[in-house]
Amino acid sequence: MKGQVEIMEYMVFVLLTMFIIAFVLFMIFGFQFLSLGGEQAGEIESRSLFILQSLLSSKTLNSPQYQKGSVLDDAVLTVMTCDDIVDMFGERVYVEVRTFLEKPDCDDPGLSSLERSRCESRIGKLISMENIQCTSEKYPECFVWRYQGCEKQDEMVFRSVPVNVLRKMNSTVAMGVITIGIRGSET
Amino acid sequence: MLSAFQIFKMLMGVVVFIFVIIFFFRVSNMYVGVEERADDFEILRGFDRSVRQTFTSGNPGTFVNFRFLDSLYYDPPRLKSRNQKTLTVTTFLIASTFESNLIKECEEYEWFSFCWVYAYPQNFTLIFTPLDGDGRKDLIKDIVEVMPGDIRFAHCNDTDLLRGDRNAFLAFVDNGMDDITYTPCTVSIPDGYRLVTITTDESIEPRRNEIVLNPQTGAYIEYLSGLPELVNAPSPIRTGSYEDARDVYFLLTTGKSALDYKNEMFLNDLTIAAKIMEERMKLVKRKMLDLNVQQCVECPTPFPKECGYTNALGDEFTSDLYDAMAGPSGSLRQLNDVISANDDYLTALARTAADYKELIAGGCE
Repeated sequence: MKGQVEIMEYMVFVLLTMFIIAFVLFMIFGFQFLSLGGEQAGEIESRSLFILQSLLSSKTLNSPQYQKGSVLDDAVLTVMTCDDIVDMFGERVYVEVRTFLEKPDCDDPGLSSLERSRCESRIGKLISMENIQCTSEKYPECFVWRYQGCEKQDEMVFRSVPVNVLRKMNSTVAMGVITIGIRGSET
Repeated sequence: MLSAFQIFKMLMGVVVFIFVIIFFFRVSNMYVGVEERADDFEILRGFDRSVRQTFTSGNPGTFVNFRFLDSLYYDPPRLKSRNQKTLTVTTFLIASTFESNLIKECEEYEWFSFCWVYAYPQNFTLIFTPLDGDGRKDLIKDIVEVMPGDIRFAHCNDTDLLRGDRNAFLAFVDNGMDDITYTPCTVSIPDGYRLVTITTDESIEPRRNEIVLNPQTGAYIEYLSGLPELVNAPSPIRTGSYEDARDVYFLLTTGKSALDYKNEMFLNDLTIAAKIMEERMKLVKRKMLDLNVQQCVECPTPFPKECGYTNALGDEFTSDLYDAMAGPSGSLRQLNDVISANDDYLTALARTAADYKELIAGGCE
């Protein structure tokens, strides 16, 4: 009986030792995998920044009036297609540019209730106008550029920055936001 | 006298010991392999990161970690290490596989620009051995002129190797080179050096880090650097032809494949930009006519009919550029075909650049 107990104790001791060894190894590799995941995230971040910078400094997409770049040409944005984006920046890249209209201040205390109501209605119209997507037909009365075939996808990482957009037809520069998204699996 | 339990413990101990040893041996083997590959990958990725930084900022950079790799081969757009780790470089670059200086270079055409990062070896030394051939002095001078500022130069005659900076070397080429009857250089050429043998004798077979140029026919024979399994070529010797000193510049520092890749990417980017630009010009012209918008301050000479409405370059802005780049079937030609067929596309590109400049000057853009 005593012998059996000793054998059992010994077996438990051996198993416990092996379990500890396996656990230590698992922890070492586990940490490596975790750091690999972190590096991948950093790489996606870095790639999205690179695409964004390339886009903003591309001579083709920017207006020649502004030599230092970062003023996108609205006509170029309108004629550009998803195929062009794929050719320039690779597959699974989402690009959206949005410009904003100047809106009146409806909180002005000097406004009467009728004026305020008109003001708010005007803001509503402006907001709905801001969602008009640009095509060759709607240009220049449009404010959003998206590209069919380069839609948002799950697991994309997005980055948005303010951007200037040259409204060619009235030679003004509008304030906008460019958003790009890339898929992690691309890296 | 040993008890049965003691014997069992001994046997169990031996079994567990063997098991643990085998287990550790396997894990460490796997771990070493993974580590080597991870190290290679980390170095390659670091390089890619440096290239991206130089590309986006325009500031020159350096990368010195290639010394930790046993071997490296650039097969555009992939960099391959001995451990067969491959990295596809996200930015177009022309790479050397040595410790490198990184600079951004661009070709500008008013409405289109093409930029790349050029990685050339640090402390790079070009050694010339001009054996024979008319025009060899001019070729050497042209090559020296296009090289970046910090590259050093030398000439080699048999076992004599004399170095100098750019100006001293150019002065020597002008005044002293004719007095020497050169024989082939026999000095050992380490990595970071390139021997340029100039001769009309095309039977000369270059050795490692050597290239043979024929100044009369424009032919070259180069020795491909890198491990055979990475180079993936039946022979390390490759022949071809160069157009000018700029081609030689790429051949000497990065190899022909990088030059071909650059040309291919240039044509690719130009095609996209030309298409976008043409569509954009059509759209702007149509809308300006529709909305009766006039933007030009003065009438640009190339477009008198359009004046008043032009910034529109017209429908034909890039059409001759397209025609020159497209083959008979309308599909895009390979760059080499385009170049060998004619130089129309370069002429057309120069023409569009000049026209565009006029439009900007006229306030139309």
